[in-house]
Amino acid sequence: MSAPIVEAVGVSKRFGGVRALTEVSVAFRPGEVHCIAGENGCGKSTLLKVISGAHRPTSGQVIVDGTTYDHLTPRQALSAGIEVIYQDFSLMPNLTAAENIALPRSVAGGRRLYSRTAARTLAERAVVRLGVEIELDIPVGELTVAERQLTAIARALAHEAKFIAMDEPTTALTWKEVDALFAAVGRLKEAGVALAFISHKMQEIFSIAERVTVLRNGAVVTSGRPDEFTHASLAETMTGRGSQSFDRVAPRNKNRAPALRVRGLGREPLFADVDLEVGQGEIVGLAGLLGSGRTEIAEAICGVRPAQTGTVEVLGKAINVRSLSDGVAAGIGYVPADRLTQGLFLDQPIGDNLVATHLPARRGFLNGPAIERRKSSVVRDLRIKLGKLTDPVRSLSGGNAQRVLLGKWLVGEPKVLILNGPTVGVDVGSKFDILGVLNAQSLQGLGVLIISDDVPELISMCHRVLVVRSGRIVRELSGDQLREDTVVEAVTA
Amino acid sequence: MPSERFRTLLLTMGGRASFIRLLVVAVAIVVVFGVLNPSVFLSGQNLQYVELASPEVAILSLAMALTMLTAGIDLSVVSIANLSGVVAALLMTNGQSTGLALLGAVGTALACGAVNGLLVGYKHVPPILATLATGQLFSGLALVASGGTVVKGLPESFTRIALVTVAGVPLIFWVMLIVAAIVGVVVAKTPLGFRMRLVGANPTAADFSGIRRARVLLATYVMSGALGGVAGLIISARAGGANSDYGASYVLLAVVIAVLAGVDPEGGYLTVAGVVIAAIAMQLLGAGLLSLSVSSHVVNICQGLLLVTMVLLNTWGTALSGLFARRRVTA
Amino acid sequence: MRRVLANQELLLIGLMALLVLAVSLKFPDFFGLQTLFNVLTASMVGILFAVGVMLVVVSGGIDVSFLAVGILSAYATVKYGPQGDGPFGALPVFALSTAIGLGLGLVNAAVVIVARTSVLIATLATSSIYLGTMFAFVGGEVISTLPQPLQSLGSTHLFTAKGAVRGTTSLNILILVVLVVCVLVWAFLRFTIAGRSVFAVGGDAEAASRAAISVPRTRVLVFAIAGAVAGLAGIISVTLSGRADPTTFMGRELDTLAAVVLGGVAIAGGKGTVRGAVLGVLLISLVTASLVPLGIPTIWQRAAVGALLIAGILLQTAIGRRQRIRPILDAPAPEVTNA
Repeated sequence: MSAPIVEAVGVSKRFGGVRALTEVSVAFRPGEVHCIAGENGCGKSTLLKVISGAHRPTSGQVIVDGTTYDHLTPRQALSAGIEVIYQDFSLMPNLTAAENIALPRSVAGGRRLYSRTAARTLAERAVVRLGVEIELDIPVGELTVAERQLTAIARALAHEAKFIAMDEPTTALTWKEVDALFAAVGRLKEAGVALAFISHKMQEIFSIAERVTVLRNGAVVTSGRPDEFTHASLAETMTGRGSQSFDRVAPRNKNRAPALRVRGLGREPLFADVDLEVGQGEIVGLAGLLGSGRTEIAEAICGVRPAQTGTVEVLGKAINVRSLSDGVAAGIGYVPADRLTQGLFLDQPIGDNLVATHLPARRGFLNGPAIERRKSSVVRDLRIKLGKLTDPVRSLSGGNAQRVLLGKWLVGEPKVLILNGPTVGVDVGSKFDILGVLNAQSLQGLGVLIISDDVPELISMCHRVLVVRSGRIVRELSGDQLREDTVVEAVTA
Repeated sequence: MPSERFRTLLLTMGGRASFIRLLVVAVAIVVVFGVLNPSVFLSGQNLQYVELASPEVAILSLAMALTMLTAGIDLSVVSIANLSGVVAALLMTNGQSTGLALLGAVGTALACGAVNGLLVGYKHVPPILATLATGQLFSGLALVASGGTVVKGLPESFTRIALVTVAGVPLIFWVMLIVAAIVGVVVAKTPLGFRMRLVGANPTAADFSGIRRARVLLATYVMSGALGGVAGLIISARAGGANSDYGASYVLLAVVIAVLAGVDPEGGYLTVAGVVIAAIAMQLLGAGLLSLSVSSHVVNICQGLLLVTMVLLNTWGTALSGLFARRRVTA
Repeated sequence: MRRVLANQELLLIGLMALLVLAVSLKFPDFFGLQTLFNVLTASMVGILFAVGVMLVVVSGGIDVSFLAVGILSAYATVKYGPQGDGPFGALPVFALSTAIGLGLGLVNAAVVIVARTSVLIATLATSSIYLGTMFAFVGGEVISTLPQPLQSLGSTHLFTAKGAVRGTTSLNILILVVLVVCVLVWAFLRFTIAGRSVFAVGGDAEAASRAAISVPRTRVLVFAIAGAVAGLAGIISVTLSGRADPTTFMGRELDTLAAVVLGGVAIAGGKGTVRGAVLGVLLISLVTASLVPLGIPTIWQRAAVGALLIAGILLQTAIGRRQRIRPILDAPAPEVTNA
């Protein structure tokens, strides 16, 4: 086996009190695609940032081409031929794609002068090499998510890199673009480049990896060739648990008005003809890939970005949602996808987060005692582990923070709760607690609509799963049809 | 326990370390100048000067701090003050009653605040831009209305406001305390104040919490405008006239005071008590330095240095105290 | 966005043309060298300040200390600096003022970087320190006898022409200095890696540092240049007015910022051009010059600029909020924009 180009040796990283990485050692060899697999929050991205110099490790070393570094700077890393495609792309939104692609190398190479034409040529070459099309001359901030992702990939390919790491590079891409990326990966491999590929998508891992290392809770659990795993065994290694499921009781009562009924919802050019129904006490899944329109549909129902056509009924009563506060008033709760930026007030007290949406007031003043009662009842019901109610939410772990977010909505006793990716970035234990809470709430008559691309989760939770593709609901799966393979097939068809 | 009660009191006024630092600074100013030149600094005259000079600055700073609570800023607040002052002065010099003049001033201030609120809340203009522009407009209008001169000849019933004392303390100082109390109640005890804080802490999350952000911002800038109007009246009562250019340096001073008080310009935190104390502390510092008969410009330097020091402490304070604590453990 | 920005600049030019046309219809004499020279002379100092501020704003921060830097550098130079003689006697005077400005800029950078605070707050503090230092330790009285080289420079004109109505009109030679500075800053921003880094840092400092750009080094550079330009602007202002008055710029910070914003520089950072900043200043000077011939008392100038600014900002935000939405529905919808 050839000597590794990049090697992490006993790398640990702490953020305040949180251990993100514990004694991680992993080697990347030339001509090898090395998949780092694991659930969200397992430390995959942190590991990459240590290797690229964006984070300084608490202990441990990174060895690049035989040189040992206690901590790399981004500049050293780039000069050593390390390229990283970050999950958030790390592009400068105000610069053109061409400049984003060309600038880092010029900086790392200690160049003084910048030439627009040279940058343009370099970027064009990279885009051609990748086999896609990107508008190179407009600021990246105006590109779509997919184009930005392709820009980030092109940036990594633009230079003679020795090591390229890709952090979930396919999330926003179409199948055609993913094929182009995989073809490019194949060519790089032949050219002797070492590749790190981070993903939690099974199909991707098995189709391109020569080696798989599984991280869980910031530590390496196992490492081996893909043929040493099956889909099931790899999933079990990643999550640390066997497949688990809930008793899907609560047969829906057909006689009661549905908690939510949507008819003919549409908004050009995002989605159209959306009909769906969530019964009281029913949990319905809305499955679809990123960019399928699933988030847009959910946001239209709850009023964040209202639809242009169609009707929404809650408990049989037609409502007119023009804004989220209309939705709240009508009994619709919406737990957004991005907990950190959309869901929580991180630096504000936990207690205040809990009552942010449903604020008891009396004669124009806050009703202090009622507010305190609400806070403590939610903390009790959802078993949120916290120090003091006045501590900031930032001090909580992912699972507890997600419970705060959930509690913020349950406090208003909604009729329908729409959740967008409710367990993303939540550790396994909390994940099941959260799903358990949802299950319990649904037993009390709450209608739940879960939006997710985590197929096993949907299958274990939902009575029915609706599949969204290209802005339309294309299938409904329930009963025996509700299996992992059928859902995946329907979603990706 | 009294110390426990004191702690609770402190916490309701401002729970952050920055508030304690501010108290230390304020006390240090009194002690230092009290020792250096007790006969002048601690004289009744000096105290009265501080009591008379603080209210306008404190009220303007409160306006600034309110907008900072929502992660905004109001660069137009002094222009609003001057425009309101000019409107009141013109009404009075044209024979209207003092009461009507006060109403006219406050109405003007509310309207100006509403313009800011509409731009920031409903048109999504960044606050710093919106108020930079409206500030030019308002002070331009004040310039036109006043004809570029000081509007003088205000009736005695108005200028007396700045002279009257109640229980030995100037009326305008009481006005400041009442205004501060009202702002404090709005911020801490009403849904509006609660939502202002959340909007400042994370506007996107506020939207996703069903908070009508535009409405909250409109209310914030209207309040800020109203405070500007009150400050404008105090300024012209004290000066015995109104003019479009009064206190141009107050914009920056108000920001300095808000930051000294520990108000987070990034939004989400406000201490009304802190702002009032910081405003008074700045005046004490000025008066103290003058009592040592140094140049009045040394005051500027000291204000600047004080701001740098406080910002440094807010950034590095926890790290320093951590260092200190560790050393104590090893000792 | 470049299209939009170009539009904003075109808009400014269009607006200026409209103004000139409107006034010229009433007073044909207005369309002539005299107006041009007046507007340029009135804009010279403002342009320099605006270009410096533009740099800082592009890098992500709002500088309010530039006027304090400018006047302190110039005043201290005139008071203590070389008197200079000979044909190039003004050179050391200008160099000293620029150098002092550069030093003060470095102090700004140090405060911003060490205290990790916003540029606005840091420069608020430093500007009151600078002004206080000037009045307390350098002096507060107007110096009306400038060093000889400055005096002669103040009356050295590049062009002199017959006035529109009577007398002569002239354009000072220092306009060349302003021009050179503008070209240099433009070239810096466009042709150097460091210049592009300024945009990168203003766009997303975190992403920039991952792209190997040293954010602190970029900040230091930006503040050094902005300080030096402010120092130069200060001494030019003194030279042109023939006296060193420490109160010249008191409280005028927002005027320059207004010009920069009118010029399409994004106040949140990452976007801006030298051209835009220059046009912003020129527009404001032209508005001032047009008011009287249009029969509007000059007293309306500030209100007019304010109204103009609000209109410009509303336009900018309206355009900025149009976002491309990637269509999801299968129906082929060619590039849809949505407000």
